[in-house]
Amino acid sequence: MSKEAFDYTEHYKKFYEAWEKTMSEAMDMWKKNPIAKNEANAGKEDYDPIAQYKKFYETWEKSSSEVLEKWVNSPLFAANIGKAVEKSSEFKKYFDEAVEKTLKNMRFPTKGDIDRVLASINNLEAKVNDLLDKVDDYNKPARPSKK
Amino acid sequence: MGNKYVDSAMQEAGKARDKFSKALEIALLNPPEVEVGVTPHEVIFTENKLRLLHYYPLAEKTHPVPLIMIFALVNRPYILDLKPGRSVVEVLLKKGIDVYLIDWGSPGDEDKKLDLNHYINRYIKQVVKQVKKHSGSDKVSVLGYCMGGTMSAMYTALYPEDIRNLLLMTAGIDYKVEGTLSLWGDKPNFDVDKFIDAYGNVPAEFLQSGFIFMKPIQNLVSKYVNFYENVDNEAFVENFLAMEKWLNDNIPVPGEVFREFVKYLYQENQLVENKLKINGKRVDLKEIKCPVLNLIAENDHLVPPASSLGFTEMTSSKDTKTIVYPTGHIGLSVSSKSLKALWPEVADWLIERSK
Repeated sequence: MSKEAFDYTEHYKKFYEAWEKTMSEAMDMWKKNPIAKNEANAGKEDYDPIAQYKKFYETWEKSSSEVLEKWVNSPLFAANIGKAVEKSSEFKKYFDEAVEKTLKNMRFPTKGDIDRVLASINNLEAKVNDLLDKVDDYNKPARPSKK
Repeated sequence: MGNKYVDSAMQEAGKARDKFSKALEIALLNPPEVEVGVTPHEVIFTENKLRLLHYYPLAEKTHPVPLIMIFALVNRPYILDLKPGRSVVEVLLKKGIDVYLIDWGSPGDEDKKLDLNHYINRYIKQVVKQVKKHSGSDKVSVLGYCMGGTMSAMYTALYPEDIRNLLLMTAGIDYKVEGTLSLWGDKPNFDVDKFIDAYGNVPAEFLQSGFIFMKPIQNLVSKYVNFYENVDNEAFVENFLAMEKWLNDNIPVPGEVFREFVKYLYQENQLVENKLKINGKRVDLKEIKCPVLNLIAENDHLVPPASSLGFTEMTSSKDTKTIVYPTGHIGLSVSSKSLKALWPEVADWLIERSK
């Protein structure tokens, strides 16, 4: 999605509309509440607070989902989240290098050393598997079908 | 007079509080242990963290060409065998298909250098070899899911002689189509080199939060409200817990293969532009001549349908079929609708081409 394709004015307008819709639903819910009405009219109509609240929730859920999903798909959000990831990567690299240097100076094996040993073991395992295959092929050149 | 309403509201609030405590306890605080991936199987090959699973037949007659399921490198593959009655593996076995599945395992920091070359030319090649040997068949069918689908297409293009049928499920092929991940992974927004150089592997939490942020209200609110409303429905709770277990069972992705996926595919779209080379060999989709079945989820927010829609035309296959199914990325493998209607159809398509 190009920067030109994303209309921020339209998006902020949608954001306002979602807020307005949710608030009017809340107001509507409150107005229907018999406690908020005068006592003479109260009790003459069915009022289900749970159903009313559910309606409010559904309005909020629908409008908020639309707005937020549109927002996370905006180039501005993508650029900002990318910047945050970039900065956290820089910090992590700096921190890891400092730890690695300290451990090396203290003559301790580092995480990098352990990873290298484990990677070598994995390579050895792959070579053993290749050898086992060769032995298998040598012993059973034409393996009969299981079917 | 307002008391009548206050009393009724208080009663409702009391009931809601009890229901809420129950939901909170089950969903978040103390979720019961759920068994997943229980269809009987044996492990016939291992290398590093990779395990190759072979499922025991559930039908009297098994068709001669085995099927290898290749899952994505993100999350665990048991989504394809979630629980009895909600398992793609089970549906295929009951239809007489000989099913193998690659479980990539959870990569450690020592695996950060594993790249596309290693996955395609070592792991998948080894698996195909082992399955051929184990089944006695000289060809195999592959079913790739998501990233696993992209890798299956690459493997089939590089080793067409091994593959009898290629089945893709929500596989990203064309990465220049509009989508959230394409936008987030785009070059100006994401410096993948800096990220991988610092982190080594992609942390599981990084991917998980990315997926959550794609649909924040649905993942952080609606899902739990829906659970609260259905907390007394035993079958619903059981499915919810199994799905939650899978969704939260995240694994890291080896850094190098992630770097290549982002750079070569998301940012440069090399597969579609016929520029992708693995170990010096071009991955030409036109080399795919076997029958192809392309399964697309209509409401997929991870891999937009348009990303895989044109795949069959990019191959040279004369026997292709594309099914766009009205479900989401995960729904394709776990929704009861897919399991009842789609997968038996997939099995029939495969059986027809496995004689």
